[in-house]
Amino acid sequence: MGAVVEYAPLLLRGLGITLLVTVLSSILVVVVAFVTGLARLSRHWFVHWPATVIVEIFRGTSLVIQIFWFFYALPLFGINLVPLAAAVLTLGLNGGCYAGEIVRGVIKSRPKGQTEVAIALGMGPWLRMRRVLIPQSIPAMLPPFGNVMIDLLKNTSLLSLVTIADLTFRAQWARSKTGETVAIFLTLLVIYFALSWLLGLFTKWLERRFSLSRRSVARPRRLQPVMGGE
Amino acid sequence: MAGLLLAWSAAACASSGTAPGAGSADKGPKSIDTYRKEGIKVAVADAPPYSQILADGKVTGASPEILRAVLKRLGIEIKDGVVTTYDAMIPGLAAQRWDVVAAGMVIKESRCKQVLFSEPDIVSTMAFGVPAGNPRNIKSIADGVANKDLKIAVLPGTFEEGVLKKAGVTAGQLVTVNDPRSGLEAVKAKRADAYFYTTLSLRQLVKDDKSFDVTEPPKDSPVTGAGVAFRTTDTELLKAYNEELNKFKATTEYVELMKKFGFDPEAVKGVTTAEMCKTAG
Amino acid sequence: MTWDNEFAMSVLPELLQGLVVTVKLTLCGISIALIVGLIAAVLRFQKIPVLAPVLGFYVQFMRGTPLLIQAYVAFFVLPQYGITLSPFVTGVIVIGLNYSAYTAEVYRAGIEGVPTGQWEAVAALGLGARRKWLRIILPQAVRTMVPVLGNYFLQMFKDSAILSAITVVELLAAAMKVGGNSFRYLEPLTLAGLLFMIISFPASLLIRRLERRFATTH
Repeated sequence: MGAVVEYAPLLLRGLGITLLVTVLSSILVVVVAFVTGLARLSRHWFVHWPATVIVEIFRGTSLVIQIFWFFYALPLFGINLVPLAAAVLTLGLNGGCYAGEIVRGVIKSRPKGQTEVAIALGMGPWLRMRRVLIPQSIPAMLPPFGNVMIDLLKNTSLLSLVTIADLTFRAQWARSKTGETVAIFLTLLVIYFALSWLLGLFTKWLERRFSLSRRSVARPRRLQPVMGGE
Repeated sequence: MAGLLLAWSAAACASSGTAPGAGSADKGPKSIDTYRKEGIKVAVADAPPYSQILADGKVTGASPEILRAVLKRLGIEIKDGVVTTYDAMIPGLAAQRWDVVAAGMVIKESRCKQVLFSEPDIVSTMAFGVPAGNPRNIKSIADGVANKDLKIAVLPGTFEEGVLKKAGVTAGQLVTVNDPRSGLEAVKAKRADAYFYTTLSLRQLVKDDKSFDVTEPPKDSPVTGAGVAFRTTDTELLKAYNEELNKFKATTEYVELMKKFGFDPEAVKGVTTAEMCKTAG
Repeated sequence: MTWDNEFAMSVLPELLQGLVVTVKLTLCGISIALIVGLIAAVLRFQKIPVLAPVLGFYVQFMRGTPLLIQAYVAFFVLPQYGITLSPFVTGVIVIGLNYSAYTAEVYRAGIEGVPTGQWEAVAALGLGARRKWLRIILPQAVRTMVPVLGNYFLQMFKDSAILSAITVVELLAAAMKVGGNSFRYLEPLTLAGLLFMIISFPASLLIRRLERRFATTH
């Protein structure tokens, strides 16, 4: 255990990078999820086709390969992102493409009646999406989104393979210096487990917060009169 | 949509990165002045005494220290150090992930086509790490060739790997390991009978561990002249670097530095990069 | 420095060998995940006092920690206790056990998803345990489970690339190896990605078809 104590400050700095990457990429995940998810629901082929292609590429290939590719191959085309940015981009796009399918699936599964009522009220497609379908879908999206976030957290460990000094990278390094393989790897397991557990609790909290409770129904926001959408 | 999304997220990420603007999009060479201004980013292996990064983040080891001393004479500072694997060092250089490799990288033909090597700065030896008492009696590379059931651990992309392959050790005999310590652990776990690596790094790895021995450098292993490696476009930097390096190698500072890390300062005399670049492999 | 077609063609055979290992790895992993997951699910279903929470923790733990770290532990820590397995076998066991945590949940959800009426009907008809499970419950549960399992196995196929970190020479490791030897990563990595897609894309279409087919019967 000596090595763990001795290298604790470094491991903590690694943990900082792990958390930073997780937070930044989860923001990107949400954005990419809604962009691809909604784009794939579009009636226009020039919107849903490109989104489909991107989603299939990111879901069809292995994340580790994408990480290596963004790190070692993309710069050859003149796109030279700093390592951390490349990391966030890869994790964000990859996670976003999975989460985008959740967005699409949940919105698609809303009862037809909701759309029909909204049309009857004279709402355009965008307003329908923004004011009716998306708000209704969020509670159903949260549990699978929580899983995506936990996967994202776990996937940050893969960044250690491309020299990003996250928790896993620091641990490997401490192991290389001290040879205390057992203590260091077991500590890693515990830390990651604790983190995903906390993330799970956070998701549960969000689920309660955003559940379609009577309270939120009791205070409906008034719709502005619209003419064929925004 | 595709391009837009990518560009948008790229922009979003670039602004959230810690070190904005590192590495420009154009692939032209950086001038010495740029390096003077921005500093230089170096890739090392976690392989003392050749190279390593200490707990406080300092890049050290014989190879980076020579680099640091010579660059200082050029007015360039080491800005950042990255620990990486041997096989990724040259591709990462091409991808501008780092500007120079200082990991005791051995100069040989195939690498000379991909990077610009400085003149040799460290000439050293390789050896086998074996279980205490050397139960399989491994003393030379020829032993590995003669005895097809011997398994030898080696780091992928290293000079050592090339030496074994060229000598006729089959791919099935090679146990690849991803970092220097894993080679030792492969022998301990009996995944391999021996670990072929640089003598001094092996000694450092096993220093307190009584269950390992390090053999004498095999007589049939070639001379290994190492230098620092630059991107092929950095010809200006290379020229200036070599001039200063040759002067530096004549100083007592160089001798002290080499002794401090346990290397033989005399070994480098008479070894040239042009000669080493003819080493096949 | 951009795409070199000739080089790409020259590395393809080695990558295909890697792909074969990846497929083998996945198939072996699937077998372990299916069996261990079933055992875990059935045992949890029995609600045995001490065992149930232990299994619950097992599922949580496997799902809550990165596959990479699990692989490192199996590869580097177990030999220190005298258990040394080859990289391939280590990889198969780790990925199989990792996904067993997911399959266990799929089984559980599948069985619990069979409507209560069916269970009641079985009880009312006085059917034996064998007929209850093999004829009534499982056939219905399987319908919902198959597409979900399919998705997990597809994910496992892609995740198997992580095992390159413990020196299993699968597709990614093969790509990195030829890339390292030739100092070019672009072509090997891109081809490795394409090879993953060549298998995973048709597989995902198949799974989606299964999803639709099974979904309409309810």
